Amino acid sequence: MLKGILFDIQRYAIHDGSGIRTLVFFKGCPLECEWCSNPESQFMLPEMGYFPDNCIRCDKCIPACPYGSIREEENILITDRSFCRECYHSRQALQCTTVCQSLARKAIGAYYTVDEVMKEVLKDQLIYRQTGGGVTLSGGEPTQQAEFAEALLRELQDNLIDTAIETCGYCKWENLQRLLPYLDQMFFDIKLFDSEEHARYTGVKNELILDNISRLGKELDNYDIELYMRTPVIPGITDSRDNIENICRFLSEQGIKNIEFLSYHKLGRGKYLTIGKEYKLYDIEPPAKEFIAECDGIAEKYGLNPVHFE
Amino acid sequence: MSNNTESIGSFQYATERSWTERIENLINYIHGIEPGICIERGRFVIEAYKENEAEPTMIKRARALEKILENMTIYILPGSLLVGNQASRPRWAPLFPEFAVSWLEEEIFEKNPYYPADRPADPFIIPEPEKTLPEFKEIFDWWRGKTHMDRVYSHLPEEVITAQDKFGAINEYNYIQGGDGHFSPDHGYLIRTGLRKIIDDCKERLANLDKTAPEYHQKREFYQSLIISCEAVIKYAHRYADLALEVAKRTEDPVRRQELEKIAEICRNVPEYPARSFYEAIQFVTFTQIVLQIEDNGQGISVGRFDQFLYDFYKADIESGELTYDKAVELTENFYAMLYTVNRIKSWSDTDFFRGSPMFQNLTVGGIDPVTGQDATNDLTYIALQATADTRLTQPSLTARMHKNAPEKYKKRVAEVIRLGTGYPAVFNDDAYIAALINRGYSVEDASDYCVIGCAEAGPAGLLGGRTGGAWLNMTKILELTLNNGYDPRTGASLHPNKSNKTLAEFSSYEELEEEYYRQLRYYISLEMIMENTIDLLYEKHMEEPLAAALGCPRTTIPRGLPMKKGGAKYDFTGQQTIGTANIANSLYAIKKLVFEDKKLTGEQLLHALHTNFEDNTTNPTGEEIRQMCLNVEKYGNDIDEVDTLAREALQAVCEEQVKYFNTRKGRGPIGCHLHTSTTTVSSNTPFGRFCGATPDGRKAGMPVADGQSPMRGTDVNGPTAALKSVSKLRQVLLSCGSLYNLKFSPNDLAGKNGLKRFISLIDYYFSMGGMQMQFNVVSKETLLEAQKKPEQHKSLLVRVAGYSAYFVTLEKTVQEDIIERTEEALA
Ligand code: SF4
Ligand code: SF4
Repeated sequence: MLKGILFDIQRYAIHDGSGIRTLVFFKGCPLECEWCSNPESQFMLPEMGYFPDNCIRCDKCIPACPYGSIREEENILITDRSFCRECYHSRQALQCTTVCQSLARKAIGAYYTVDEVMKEVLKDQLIYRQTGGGVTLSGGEPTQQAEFAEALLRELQDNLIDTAIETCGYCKWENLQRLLPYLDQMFFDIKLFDSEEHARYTGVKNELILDNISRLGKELDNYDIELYMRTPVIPGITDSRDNIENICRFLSEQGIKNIEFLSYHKLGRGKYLTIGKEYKLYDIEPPAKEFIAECDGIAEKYGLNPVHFE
Repeated sequence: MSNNTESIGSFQYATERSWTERIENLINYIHGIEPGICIERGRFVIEAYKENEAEPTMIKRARALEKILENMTIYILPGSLLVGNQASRPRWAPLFPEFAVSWLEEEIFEKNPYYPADRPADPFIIPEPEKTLPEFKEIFDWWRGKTHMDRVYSHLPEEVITAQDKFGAINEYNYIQGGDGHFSPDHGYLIRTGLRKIIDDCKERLANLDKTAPEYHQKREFYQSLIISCEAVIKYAHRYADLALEVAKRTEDPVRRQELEKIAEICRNVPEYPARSFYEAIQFVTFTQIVLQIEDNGQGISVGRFDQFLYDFYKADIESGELTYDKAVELTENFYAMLYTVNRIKSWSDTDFFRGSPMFQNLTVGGIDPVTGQDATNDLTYIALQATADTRLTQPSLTARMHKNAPEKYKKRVAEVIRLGTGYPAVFNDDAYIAALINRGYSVEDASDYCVIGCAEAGPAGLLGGRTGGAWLNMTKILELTLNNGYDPRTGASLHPNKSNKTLAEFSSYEELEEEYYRQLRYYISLEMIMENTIDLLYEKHMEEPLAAALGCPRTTIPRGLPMKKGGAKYDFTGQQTIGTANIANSLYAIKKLVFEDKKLTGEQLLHALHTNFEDNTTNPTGEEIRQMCLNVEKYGNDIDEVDTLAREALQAVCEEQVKYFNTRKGRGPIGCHLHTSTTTVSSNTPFGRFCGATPDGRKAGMPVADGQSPMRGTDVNGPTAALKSVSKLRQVLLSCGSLYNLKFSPNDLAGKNGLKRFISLIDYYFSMGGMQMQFNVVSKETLLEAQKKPEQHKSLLVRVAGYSAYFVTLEKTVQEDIIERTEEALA
């Protein structure tokens, strides 16, 4: 049966599309942006999260790990994660999480059928209608699991639920295209205009993304989709005047109208630790409100329509 | 969950109030007075009882009221446009020694557990103790052994006393130590009728009584006592007229002098005769509210549908130019200040259940018109909301009725006032409440005219007799007793063994456990019934309330010649409050999963862990590991059908069992006369928690249980829509006595137009799924923590406790902690 890997289904979301929404977080992303606020979304298999605040030091996980990766040092539990990737791929993955009663170690990510996702998202169907909300596929990168995403979107449309997607746009055009008939709103990231810079901070070049934007610009009229481009404003990385100007010029050339400048925020920081990743942007502070307003001004200059979902 | 980590902090203070200088000064004046105990009433009751030994109780009680109203200290508050006082100073509590003295005697003379002025919360000073203490002693000596409480204890079977005092499985101290209250006077009828007409009516009926009839004496006493009481109230009003003129003479300010003369003129007219203006009507209502709370110390004397029964007066005066909108706001705020002066002292042990000295004088606005079924909001609706926003007092409690076609403007105003953080108004769903009342036998029209009485209990003013509040049922304790075969590990006492004679260690299936639990539940409900009958019997025999009969339900008590406690009301029910739905659902589900389905634990292991408060490290798994297993089983409040179903069944079982029992008014006139259920908690979840050992939901021994029908705090982790949905799955329509769901929001979650809109959407969402009632704590956690540290700077910080609001800094530490912990349902 068709299954997708997700790392969360979150109800009562109000920042991603209109009204009160449910977010379906896909796991797995072709990019690895340094500012990513969902680092646990990047890897496409269930992985182990460690939440030391919940740990009651029963030490059951120590013998449970087949790699002997967990040990105690000066009264603190240390996990050497060098074998965890291998463990994720193995048949007996994540043994440490199965013995942990306190959810201090838990598997992040699980496989769902379309029906299982629908069961969750239908729980709030009434409030979608009351508030003009719906369901947003987020991630991670939904187009990485295009078949599953398409099946889910089709089912949502069958239930008269408004749909939205958040995408980084890094995928084969066909994988994006197949979703378009089932979408009401689309949030499409454009982070850095310079391809080398893009590769430096996200791990991949951006030609494919820009190409998809161009095609989307041409084909948008065939669909009934509200398209919003999104640029995360990351101080010192994406916030050069050049980058903003180039993005706006490019979009306006493609006949695209709406853009939202998103302020960098620090809320994802803690998550890096829980999955044993390193966060590189510790010194960065969120941009000033005035700067976001400036970006909006630039967008307007190019005939774009800057928007802000609260 | 909140993306907005910045707190707005002391949100309440930042917003502007639009009150007049008069109201500001008046309220500051009242706030400046420390609550105390006023001995006067205690003194006069004894005198009256001594002078009327030979009289029947009805007359004796009427004479006592007469004596008090004639002799008590009266005052006019500086600048106040309204008069009436319950005790010699604002916020002082009169003595009601006829109900109980032993606890007060112990508190005053043994300092057990605290001297009233030294209580950790809700303290009361005793003025001039050298002078008053001997008199207190005299009063206690006179009453010792013959109070209502003494009688209740001499009547109660041992098992009921054990269930209450030892187990805390049921509790009715409130009505053992005090009067009933809990009705909404027939204000609308009274202000259009006047007491003179009621007196004349009683006189006529008295004259026409058949003296040979067996019930002659009972009827005679009834009418005579009503006449005495109403005359006493009229005289009491005249005392204010005299006082106002006297003060006027000494007043230099010509404007104030005129105001006082006006007060005198009004007090000569109301409550004796019908009110001639909005101003007079409000003064009438003030008198009615206050004198009822001098006759008896029952709480919950509720104002009723303020915007409905006063609207004609308002409209006429606006049209004639006698009144302006702003003047009506000022009078309403003045009225709130008057209600706020009323107070009651409860024993320290009962104070635990009712933190923040709530009087539950509930005032209802909005809702549908009982005849047309259409929206009935009007100017006064908005004026009452404005008055709450301006005065931010703990009394009156404000209720906003909502319905499918409620105007958006009204919803917005309600949301804005809630956002101020005073905990008021609570919102009530007409569609659900009306259906619930009709299901209990109310006519469509009467059900549609409901107001909220006390905490969250609904009924039509003037038509519903008292007893909307009764015994509490501590379901968590009953489950604990079931798991232990009727034995209470805390006290070592045993009452009612399981039918199978098994404990959790021996149950062979989940179904067996469930069956035993429901059997125990039925047993404890039967004890509640014994308690109710005992209290009712003693109220009716010894604690008659002639004034309540005249002002409460005059349209039925007078034709029937019966006080409410003998069947004088049109409708009569006895409400039962049920606590801890969430703990039952979560505990049963944890046992079901861990012991019987996943078999991670044996019943014996779990029971041992409960007995050792999850602290035994020598077992495998250890106590703490077992607790983690328990905590991490799915919980009620997250929209998970499997556990929500258990919550529904647990509450439904209580509703269906209680409704089988009849109260003492059955067959004596009123419609209904059975028990019914509410989930109002007030602050009882904290003391009830102290009676309960560790529970299978992972709760440790002694910790508070869940309030009302809310999810256990901290366990609803899927956001507000999931929590609302879980709660809405309970068959709330069965909660005809009232439903209580507490939600906490940070003010920053409600900021801006979108915040308000979302907030309203959530209310609409809950109500469209059959939810009945919601109330809100809107303060940031930071504010509360800050207030704990610097109480002196946060004296006016109001929080919703449950069913009412209280000043946070006056609450005891554990209740404060409980409020802080309650899940912050982030709206952003
Ligand atoms: S099993 Fe869980 S709780 Fe026990 S030591 Fe490991 S992480 Fe901590
Ligand atoms: S994820 Fe696998 S390798 Fe890593 S600590 Fe757990 S069991 Fe060991």
